[in-house]
Amino acid sequence: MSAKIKRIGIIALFVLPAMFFYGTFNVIGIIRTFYYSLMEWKGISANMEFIGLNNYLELLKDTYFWNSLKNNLILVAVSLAIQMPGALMLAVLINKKMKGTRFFRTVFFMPMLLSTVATGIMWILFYDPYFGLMNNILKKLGLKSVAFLTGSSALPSILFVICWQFIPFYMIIIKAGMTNIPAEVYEAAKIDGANGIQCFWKITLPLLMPTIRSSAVLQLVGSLKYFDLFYVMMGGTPNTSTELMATYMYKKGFTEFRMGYASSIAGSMFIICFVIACLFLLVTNRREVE
Amino acid sequence: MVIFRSGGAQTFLDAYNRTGNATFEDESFIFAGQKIQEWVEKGYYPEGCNGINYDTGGSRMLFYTEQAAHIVQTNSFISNCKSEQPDIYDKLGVFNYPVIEGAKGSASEILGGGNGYSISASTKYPEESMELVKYLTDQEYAQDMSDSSGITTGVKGVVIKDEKLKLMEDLLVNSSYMQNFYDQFLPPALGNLHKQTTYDLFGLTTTPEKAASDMEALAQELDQK
Repeated sequence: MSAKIKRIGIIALFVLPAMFFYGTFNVIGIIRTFYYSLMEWKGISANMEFIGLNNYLELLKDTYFWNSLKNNLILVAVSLAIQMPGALMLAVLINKKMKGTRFFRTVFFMPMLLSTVATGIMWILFYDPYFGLMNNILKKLGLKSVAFLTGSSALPSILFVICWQFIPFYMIIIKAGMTNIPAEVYEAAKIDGANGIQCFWKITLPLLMPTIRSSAVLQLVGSLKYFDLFYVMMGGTPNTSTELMATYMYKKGFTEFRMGYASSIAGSMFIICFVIACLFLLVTNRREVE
Repeated sequence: MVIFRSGGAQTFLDAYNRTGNATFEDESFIFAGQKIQEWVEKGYYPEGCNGINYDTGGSRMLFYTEQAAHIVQTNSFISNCKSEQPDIYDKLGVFNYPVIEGAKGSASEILGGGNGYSISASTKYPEESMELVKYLTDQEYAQDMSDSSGITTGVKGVVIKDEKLKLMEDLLVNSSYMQNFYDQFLPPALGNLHKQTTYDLFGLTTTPEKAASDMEALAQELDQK
């Protein structure tokens, strides 16, 4: 057996366990989702009726679905516009060699350690109009109390919690990226008379681009398929301003027992995420090459 | 409940069963929507009521701290109150939803939910399943459920020791009709829309007329399917 075939065989052997799980839970799951999306199926009975693309045709006319897609796009915009710069700023701060950075690194990372359910319930209590911490602070400042999780203020309130939870995660990723930047580059820049801000814009940011690009893709795809916090904090509350594609899919599948239609929502989510992620990678790859 | 008291149980059932010309746009549905919005505007409900969650304790905290005068709840609230706030439990009173004078609804019509057990006809273990159902409905188990969780049971011979729970059982036993909660009774899509329109009515983001017409439109669509 040639050395090349042997090498490929060894690689395949090591990759096989991961591919087995990935194939079973991801690839087969995706294929079955598209299969169910062509059916009218309650999800709890054995009867499935093949209806072709009717679920997708209904989806195109479903204003609730387009509303939920709009909310997902708002989440994408907030993630990229607030989480990324926030994470970058904190990463720069904790990367500085001064007293207290280790302490603050731990403190900043703490939101990420909590489970989403615990975070959601904690913030529901924080946001309570009468007993919540946030309204107590507002009252002490002489301001009027706010019904955070009601109506149109619910979405910004939850977006704040998402940023609070996920900024630490991206901060750690960016911090790890920053440790790969050689110190000699900064030393050379300082010799040339560059100040801190110039070092950041001309050295740190350009060299962090691959890390930022990877983080941005994670944020993009994560925001398009996000479910957890919205379900915990608003689950059961029919507030259309906080309906996401994933929560809408859950509602259609598990409370209205239309698993076929819910699968078509899931299938559409997959297509939307895939297309947007590919476009993003293509555009940012071109910029990187330039 | 307001729909129930203004139109009576039959109005809703006729709209649900599509009997005659009955629709979800009946005046009792619109009246209920108008009353809700009138009460919201007068400040009868807590600020941000749409965002206050029962499960995480938001509405219960308002009641326990005596900022809310009453709470529309089921018998499960009695056991919750007893375990969570015994001093409020001592002051807790129970009364039937008020009747609207001159309207079709009566005090003997109540709203509630129930649980039942069923065995699949295709089960491979019919005898074992029956054994389990018998265990879950025997007097000892039912008495334990009544004592520990305040569950009202249909099992004979169970003695309800809590006087407030006894009051609620009397309401049930003496009722002429019990309507299951609308969001569970209606077809799932219509139940979800009912929750949506109720939320929008409390949030003043829809009108009673639009809420009623949205319900009727979906009911007709489901009827045609």
